[in-house]
Amino acid sequence: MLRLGREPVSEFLPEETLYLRYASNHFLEGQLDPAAIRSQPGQSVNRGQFSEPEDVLFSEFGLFDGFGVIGFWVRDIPIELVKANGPAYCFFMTHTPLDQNYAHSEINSDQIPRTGQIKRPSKTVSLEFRIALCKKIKREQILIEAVRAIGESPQN
Amino acid sequence: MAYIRPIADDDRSQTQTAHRIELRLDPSAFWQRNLRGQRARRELEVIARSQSHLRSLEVDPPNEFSIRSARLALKLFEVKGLNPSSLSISMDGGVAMSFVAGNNRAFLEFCNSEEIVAACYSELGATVVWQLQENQKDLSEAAIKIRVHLAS
Repeated sequence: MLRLGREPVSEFLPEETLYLRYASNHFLEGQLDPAAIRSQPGQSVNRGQFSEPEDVLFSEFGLFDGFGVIGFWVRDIPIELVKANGPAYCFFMTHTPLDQNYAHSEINSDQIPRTGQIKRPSKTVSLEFRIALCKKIKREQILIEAVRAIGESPQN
Repeated sequence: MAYIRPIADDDRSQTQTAHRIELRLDPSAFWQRNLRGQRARRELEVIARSQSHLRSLEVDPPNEFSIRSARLALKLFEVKGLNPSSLSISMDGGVAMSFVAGNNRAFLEFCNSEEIVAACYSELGATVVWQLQENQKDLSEAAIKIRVHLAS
C-alpha cells in the first residue's frame, strides 16, 4: 500500500477494478445511491491493480470502520456526457498516489474539446454522471458489506 | 346433492367484516407513507444536530441552506403524499433524498453550494436532470414530476 517512491501509472485498462468506500445508507434497494458519489474533481477510488478491497477502509485511527467496499470497473465510468445547452464533458481516471496509499486515484473531468486541465462540470451534468455510474453498481458488487451509515460515528 | 344455504343474518356480518378488512388496507398504505415521512424528518433533525465527525471523513457537513431547503421540501412533499425512501448526508456536501418505486427512481440534492438538483431515472430509460430554486413553486413542481415518474 505504501508508495515507496513509485511513479504513477497513467494507463487504466477498461477491465481494471476500482474500489470505492460506501456507507450502509448509501445503498438503496439493490443499487448504489448517487449520494455516495462526489462530483468531479474529488471522488477517490483505489486501483485494483495495486491494492486489495480492505485497503480502502484503512485508517490509523479507525475512521472508516464499519463502512463497506464496492468494486466496479474502469469501463463502468461514463466516457462523456453531451448536453444540448452547455459544454460536453469527458470523464477519466487519474492515478494520484499518496505516500500511505499508492493505489489512490481520482475520477476527473475535462471539457470537450479537451483543455488538458481538470474542468468541473455543472451540478446537473455531474449528477447525471453520478447516476450513470450508480446504475452500474449493484448489490453483487459489494465486496465488504457496510454496517455503518454516513451519519453515524465509528463507535456506534 | 348440492346444498344451498339460505341467506342468513350471519352473511351480512361477514360482508361487514370483509369491508372492514378492505378499509383497513387503505389506511395501512397511507400510514406506511406517513411513517416514511416521519422517518425522513427525524433523520434530517439528527443530521442537523450531529455532524462533528464528518470533517474527519473529508465530507462537507450539510450547512444551513441545505438543511433549511430539505426541511421545506419535506413539508411540501408531505402535503402531496410524497415521502422519500431515504434521506442522507450527501458525499458531495449537502442533504440527499432518494425515492424508489420498483425500477423507477428519483433523487433530490440540496447542496451546500446553495444549488438544488433533481433527477428522475430508471434502469433502462433516459435520465432527466434539472436544477431548481428554493421556493414553493419549484419544489411543488418537482414533487409532481417525481410522483408521475415513480407511478409510470
